[in-house]
Amino acid sequence: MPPGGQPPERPRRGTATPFLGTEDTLFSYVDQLAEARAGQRAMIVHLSRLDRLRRNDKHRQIVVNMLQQVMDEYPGRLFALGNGDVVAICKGITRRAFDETTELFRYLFNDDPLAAESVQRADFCALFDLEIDYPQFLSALDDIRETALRQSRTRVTPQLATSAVRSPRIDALVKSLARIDIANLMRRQTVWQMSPARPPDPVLDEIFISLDRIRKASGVDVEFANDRQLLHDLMLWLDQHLLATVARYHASVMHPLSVDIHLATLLSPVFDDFDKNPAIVMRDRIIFEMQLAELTADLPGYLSATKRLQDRGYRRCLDGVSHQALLYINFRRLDVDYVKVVWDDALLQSDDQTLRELRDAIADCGSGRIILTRCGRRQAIDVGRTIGIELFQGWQVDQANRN
Amino acid sequence: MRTLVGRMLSRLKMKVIAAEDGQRGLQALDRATQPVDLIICDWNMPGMSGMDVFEQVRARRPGLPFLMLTGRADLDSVVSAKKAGIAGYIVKPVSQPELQTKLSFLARKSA
Repeated sequence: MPPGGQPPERPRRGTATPFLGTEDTLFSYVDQLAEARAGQRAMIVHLSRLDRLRRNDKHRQIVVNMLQQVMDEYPGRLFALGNGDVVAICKGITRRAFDETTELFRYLFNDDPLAAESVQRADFCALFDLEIDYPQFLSALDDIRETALRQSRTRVTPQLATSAVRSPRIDALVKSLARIDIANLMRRQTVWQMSPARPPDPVLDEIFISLDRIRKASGVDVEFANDRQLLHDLMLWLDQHLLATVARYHASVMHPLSVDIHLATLLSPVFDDFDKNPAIVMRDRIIFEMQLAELTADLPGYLSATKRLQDRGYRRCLDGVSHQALLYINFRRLDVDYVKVVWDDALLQSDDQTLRELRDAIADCGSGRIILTRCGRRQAIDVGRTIGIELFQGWQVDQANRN
Repeated sequence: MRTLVGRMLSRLKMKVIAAEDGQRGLQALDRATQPVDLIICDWNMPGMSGMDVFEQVRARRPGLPFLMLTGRADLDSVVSAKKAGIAGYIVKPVSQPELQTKLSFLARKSA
């Protein structure tokens, strides 16, 4: 079919919540578009070429929001790519509208070398009239695809740590896990902002691998609780899988990703390799969760790890905090972005005095930083709100909000 | 935000005159005993808006670098700021390195 046929699917009109396609959906959309190019224009905003300082979620969100508004009157699609770039494809939009948008982006990022007068505009925002420039657009996307491929080739396959002390059973376990796609064992749970006056809003997604799933999938008869060294070795090996997953997806998924990571991993060369991975383009979309138990066991190590994360632009969360600990530890001084307080049914029995003290402690820490986690019952949200918590996580929360 | 930005600027060894709204900011500009090199202003403030302040500053001191620090990331606001001739625009929240590079850019531009 020549250009001028029907577009591949009925693209949506702009709404308040932009739908962001990913690389895979972009490539398939563009392939289908070959048959329906009439009036279609595309723009690639190369945010990945900005200075590292500006390659972050805030700036991508601004670009996405603005493009969404530009495209409000036209049918079109937006795609967030793994490298941080944003692609807009839109039917009926004028060249002038896209040109003006380019100028707005250059204005917003006017302190970046990419927006300098001496730099070609297309190096930052490349525009394509798909009726004419379709081959050039495909070529630009091929470059992006090639880069993604190169990055995936340099992705490190998780290896076992070569520590002197190692469980004799870890090799057998890892060998058996090597036959399984660990990605299939990963699960995701959302942290929701739930203020009384507003609809629930997803803030971030935690990805994790449950040990129970690992045990079942491996087929190895092992009780981790009885072999602490095996558990330790396995956790570090799984950390590498989580890091690889975060590296691959953090820039293209809708919400920032958080992972529970062990102090030993954060302080090891494994983390340096992760940080050097060219796929890591938006560090502020990655939240590393560390356990309070690890902090108390190795305070200097914790402080060193958390400083390291902060210096490199990642966000940090302290997990495994009991509501009692909230009353005794000054979490403000620990300087983390989030604190996860574990829901405890005992809170249902708390007297007014305790609730008041908790409310004060949460206000002191900053209510926007506290996440009430493992909320397995509806009352957890009610009690949480009573003491000033706005962020919630747990299967009950996911179920209620997704419904 | 005013306190936070003031702290960031102090860390950058800059002298800061802080004002809680546009009117007081303009008075401070008029009364300043030392040269003022840059204005950083929020868009939404009690009384005068950041845009009103910009117009007043431009009338008093044309060419004085002006940085709008705002939560507004919508198309209309960015278009308005650009059309008005505001040289620097940062969407909140702002980090110290981000503020620093924008200020360096404004300084180079006005030099």
